[in-house]
This record gives sequence, C-alpha cells and structure tokens, in this order.
Amino acid sequence: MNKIVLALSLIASCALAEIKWAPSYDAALVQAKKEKKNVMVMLSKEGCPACEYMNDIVFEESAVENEINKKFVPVHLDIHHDFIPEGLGYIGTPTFHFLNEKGAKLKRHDGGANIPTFLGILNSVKK
Amino acid sequence: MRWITIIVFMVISVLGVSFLQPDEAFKPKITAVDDDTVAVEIILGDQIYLYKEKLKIEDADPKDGIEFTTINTTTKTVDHEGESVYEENPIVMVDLGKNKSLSGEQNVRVKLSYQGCSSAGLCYEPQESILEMPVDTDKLSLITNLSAPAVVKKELPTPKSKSETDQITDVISGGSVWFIVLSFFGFGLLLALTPCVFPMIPIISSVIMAQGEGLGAKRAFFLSLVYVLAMAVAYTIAGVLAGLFGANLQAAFQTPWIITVFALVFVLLSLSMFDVYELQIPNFIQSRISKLGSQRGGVIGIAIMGFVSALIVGPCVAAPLAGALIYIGQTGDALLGGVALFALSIGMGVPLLIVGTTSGKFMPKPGMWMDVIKAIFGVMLLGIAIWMMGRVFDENTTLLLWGGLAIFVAINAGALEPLGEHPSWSSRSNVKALGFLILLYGSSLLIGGMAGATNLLHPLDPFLNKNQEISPSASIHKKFEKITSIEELDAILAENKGKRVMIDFYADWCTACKELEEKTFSDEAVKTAMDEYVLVQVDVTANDDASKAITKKYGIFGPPAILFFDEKGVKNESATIIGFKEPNEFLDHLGAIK
Repeated sequence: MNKIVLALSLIASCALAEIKWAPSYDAALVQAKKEKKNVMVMLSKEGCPACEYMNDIVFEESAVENEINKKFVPVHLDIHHDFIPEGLGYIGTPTFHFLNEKGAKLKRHDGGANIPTFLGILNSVKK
Repeated sequence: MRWITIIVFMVISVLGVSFLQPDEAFKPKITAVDDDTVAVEIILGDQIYLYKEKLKIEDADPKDGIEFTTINTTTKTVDHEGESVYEENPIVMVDLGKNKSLSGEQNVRVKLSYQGCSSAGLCYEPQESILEMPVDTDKLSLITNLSAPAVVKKELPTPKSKSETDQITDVISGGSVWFIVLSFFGFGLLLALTPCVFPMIPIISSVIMAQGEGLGAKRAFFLSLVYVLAMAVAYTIAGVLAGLFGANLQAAFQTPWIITVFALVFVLLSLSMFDVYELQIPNFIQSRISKLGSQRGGVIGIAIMGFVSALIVGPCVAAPLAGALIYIGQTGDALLGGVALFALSIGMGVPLLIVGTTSGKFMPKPGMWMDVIKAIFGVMLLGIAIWMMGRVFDENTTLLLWGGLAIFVAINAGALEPLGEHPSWSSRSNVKALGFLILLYGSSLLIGGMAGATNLLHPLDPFLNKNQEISPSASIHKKFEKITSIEELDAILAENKGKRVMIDFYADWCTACKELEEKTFSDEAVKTAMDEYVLVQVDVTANDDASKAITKKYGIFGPPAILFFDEKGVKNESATIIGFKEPNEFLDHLGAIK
C-alpha cells in the first residue's frame, strides 16, 4: 500500500508540478506585473555542479516547484550567454535575485542550497 | 511534523551560508625558488577547489626578454564529478630563461588565470591576476633556439580514476557486443546440427531442384543464400521485437514470481530437448510447404520460402530460440536483439548453404551425436533457469541447484558407467573423464552448499578456517545503520577498517532519496551487490548544524548523495553519486568501482 501511495505521489509530482520558467527577463517582469507575483532570477552557467544540483534535485522537488510556481515568476539567465540586467550582481553561480514586479531588488542569495534551506529562502521573500 | 521541521529550519537558514568573496577564495602568490625558478601558488579558501583545466599560466610580457622555459606542477588532483580538480593549493613551478642579453634586476610578470567553486555550492567566475617578482637577469641562462616555442608544459601524470561517462563509452566501444554476436553465431551453428533443422533440408533441396537440372554451383549457392537470408530476416524481426518488448519487460524481470514463471518455462522447454515430449510442427504442414516450394520458382519465391520455413521450424527450434529471445529481451536493446538473432540465423544457415550449394551431396548424417547436441541445449536451458532463479533464491540455494545440475550432467555423460570394451584414449573414455570431473565439482558444490557456501568458485569455503560471513544473507539486506553526525560516522569508519563502506545521505524531505530507497535499494540484484558494503545512512532531515557540518565535510550540497569508502577508509572520489539512479545504473556503478 505504502508503495502504491509513493508511486502515485512520485508520478503526481512528476506530472503536475514543473517549474514554469519565463522565456526571458523582460517577459518575466511583464508576467509578474500581470499576475502580481515576484520574480526569481537564477543566474547560472554551464559546468557548475551547484547549478546542476539545484536543477536536478531541488527544482525537481514538488514542494519547491509548487512554492515557486505559486509565488514567483522564475527566470533562468546564463551569465555567459544571456544579457544580465544591471544591478543583478554575482560573485559566482548559482546566484538568486528576488525582485518585485517593478524589478526592485528584494533579496539576493549566493550559491546553491538544499531543499529545506531553499524553501526557507523562498519563504523569506516578502510578498 | 515534516512541515514543522522545515519551518524551524527556515528561520535558521535565513541566516544563510556566506560565501567567500573571490579574492578570499583564491589568493595567488609568487615566490622565488632559486635563481631561475619561481613558484606560483594559489592559496585556496575553506572548501574551495580549482579546476585543473582552467588553471593557466602565461607570460604577461612576452617581449620583455624573459622566457618561461618549463611550467610544471606536481600538485595532486582529485576527480570531482568527472573533472580533475585541485583541492589543495596548486603550486606551479616556472623555470625562467632569457632570449636576449639582459642584465640587472628585472620584474618577471606572470599572468595567471583560474576558475573554481566552493563545495558549499557556488561556482566562481573565471579569475585572472598578474603576479610580479624581481629576478636577477644575470643569473638566467640564455636560450639560443629562438624559433622553438619555449614553453613546454610538463605535468606529472596524476592518479585519477575514470568517471562514470568514460566507462560507459568504454563499454560501448568495448568488445562485449562482438562477444554476444559471435556467441549467437556459434549457437546458430549448433542449432543447425540438431534434428530441428532437418525439416529444412528437404525444403531447400526441393526448392533448388525445382530450378531445373544441371544448376551451376554458383547459381545454387546464390539461391541458397537468398533462402538463408530470408530466414535470417524472419529471425531478425523476432530479435528486434524481443528487444523492444524486453525494454518494457525488464522491470517485470525484477519481480520474483515472473522470474519463477520464466524459469519454469525454461525447465519445460529443456524437457523437450531430453525427448520427454516432442515439440514439432505436424508432418502434413511440413510436406505441404516443401511441395509448395517445388512449385514456386524464382528468387522471390525462394525468399518467401525461406521466410516461411523459418516460421515452421520455429516451434522445433523453439526451446533454444525462446531462450535466446528471452536473453535479448532482458538486455532491452532492439538493435542488439536484431544483430544477435541475425548472427544466430546465419549460423543456422551455414549448413543449409552447404547442402544447397552441393545439391545435397554433403548432408550431415543423423546419429547419436545429434542427440548429444540436443542434450547440451537442454542442459543450457536448465542452466539459464537456475541463473534466473539466482535472483529469487539466496546464493546458497542457487549453488545447491548448480550442484544438482552438474551431477545430473555427469551421470548422463557416463561418469560412473564402466568403460567396458572401450579402449583407453577413446572418445568414450575422455567423455567419462570429463563427466567425472563434473561429478567431483557437482559433489563439492552440494557438500559445500549444505554447509552454507555461497561462492561457486570456492564451494568448500565453509570448511576452511577462514570462517567468512556465511551469512543468513536475506536478513541483512538493506539494513542501513542510521546516523546523524560526523562523530558517529567517524566511529563507524574506524570500526570498519578493512571493509568497504557505502554512505547514503538521506532526508525525509527529499523525494529523490525515497525513490532511491523504494526502487533502487529494494531491488533484489542491488541488495545482493550491496551486501559487500557496510551500509550507513546519514539522516540530514533535521538540516541542523550537525547535518550541515557533515554535508560540508564531505563536500556535498545535500541529499541524495552516495559516497563510497574503500577498505582503508579512504573516500573514492570518482565513485560519488549525486541524485537518483535506476537499479540497473546503480548496479553498473557498483560493478565499475569494484
């Protein structure tokens, strides 16, 4: 029985929740205004194990997925391939910037984090 | 409860981890070693590592007359998720020379570029810095050969084991596929020598005869080839199908009752090889087909005949063929399935080619030997059945079954029959000797097995004083020792020197960890493979200081992560697994780090 529940919840978590990344920074701001949400910018680059950990494990977790989809418009920027708007500083990747719908900075987090820590970070961003 | 935990640690985590600024993380330094050598060192901050590939040293002023003759480092690298990295401060020796006449003190300028990450979870941007150091140019030797590129980058080979992806490519480029194809070809040849393929001989001869008298050998060969190839196509299709279906069946093959059912099918099939019953297409169908063949001419007609006769002899060859197909199904590889079955049918076709080309002049004479080959197939089928049951039974029971099979074979090979009239060195006496060897081996398997042996190569281990774990294996499967702190882990590592240790980082809030437990660790084959390890589970559900300290110590961001320690208690860097792994991937991984 336990196994069935687990299997179902695994399937459900795969099928239902998936982080809906905005296609670009500008699109994210437009969408945030419309949906009255904050923006989560993830700065990453290739060959960054911590970024991979975030993508493969933390963002695969349904609690994280739900939290992000509920409260944020997430957008992914590659510091080597994408234009990085002024003010979104970083000393390395991944770096997370949380902005309000007008693009004003609310919070910055440097580096990767495990699931509960990252949930904590998401929750600490003021509405 | 889970949420309370998370909420509690949300508060803690707001404080967050603070990362070193790049200038604290990497502190480059240059020192003079002797008159014409400088050492460049990068002092790494806490938890910082540097990519070997990204560390570059160049002459910042190529025209200043001072040249770098050799650049050399002996700092050890470790494997970090497939990349060689420096975890200790890299030191690079740069030998200097001058390419024009210089005198007096002059600054040598070294351009250093590097890139690294913090194992707490941040990757820094590429960094660059210029280091300067005064050198006495009078003491530098003059390099006369101006045309040659002066810088020779010399590095001592660093011990590094292969990462997972390298090994996967190795297996693909390696010979195992050829081995399978060759074995199937041989298998096909053997099959052709069973009474099974005999119905095909009248078919092929009638087909070829129908082409008219006085057919040239060339033409006859061509027609036989068409026939054989058509037959091969039929089997290849079967192989591809088995591969495709097998891909989905693979998971099913982990379930004990399905394995048992298949093993029983194999036992039943083997009975037909021992003439307990006969598996054959009714005679009237056989004769109809061969009559049809004689009426139909042309290449296409022959091709159709080949294809159809593959289907009719099918049931007769069924038992071994089903074995081959099930084997292919287990690999879940359609391409391999097609290739293997093609090889098998070409093997089967070789005698037919000979018969066809020579218009039946060469025909194997049926006799005792054919029954021997049939019996060999029967034994192979029983062997496959036992091998499959190995996943259901524990190792000891499987060993007893092998012992039984060996004795069965030995007796049938006449191991205990008197030689009678047969002279020495006749084939009969040789077979008897072989049978006797098998009998001895089988008996030792049975005797050792009854005392609890599990190793097929060392069945008598239980009687040696070594007294190794004759474990009641089933009960110790998957039992992880649960711990939460570095102290506990250190104690376990110290206690288990001489054993290999596998450490699973787990947390209740980690779905991938649960998936690992439910799917991978509970897999029967994985359980068996994990028996070789002392299993430790570090529970970091609390995400408190102790959890953070232990993840920090082992340089992982969080669960799921699986670390491996060797007999000396040293972490096998390249073996670390981050994230979920399917049972078969996990097994391959365990196999690779043996």
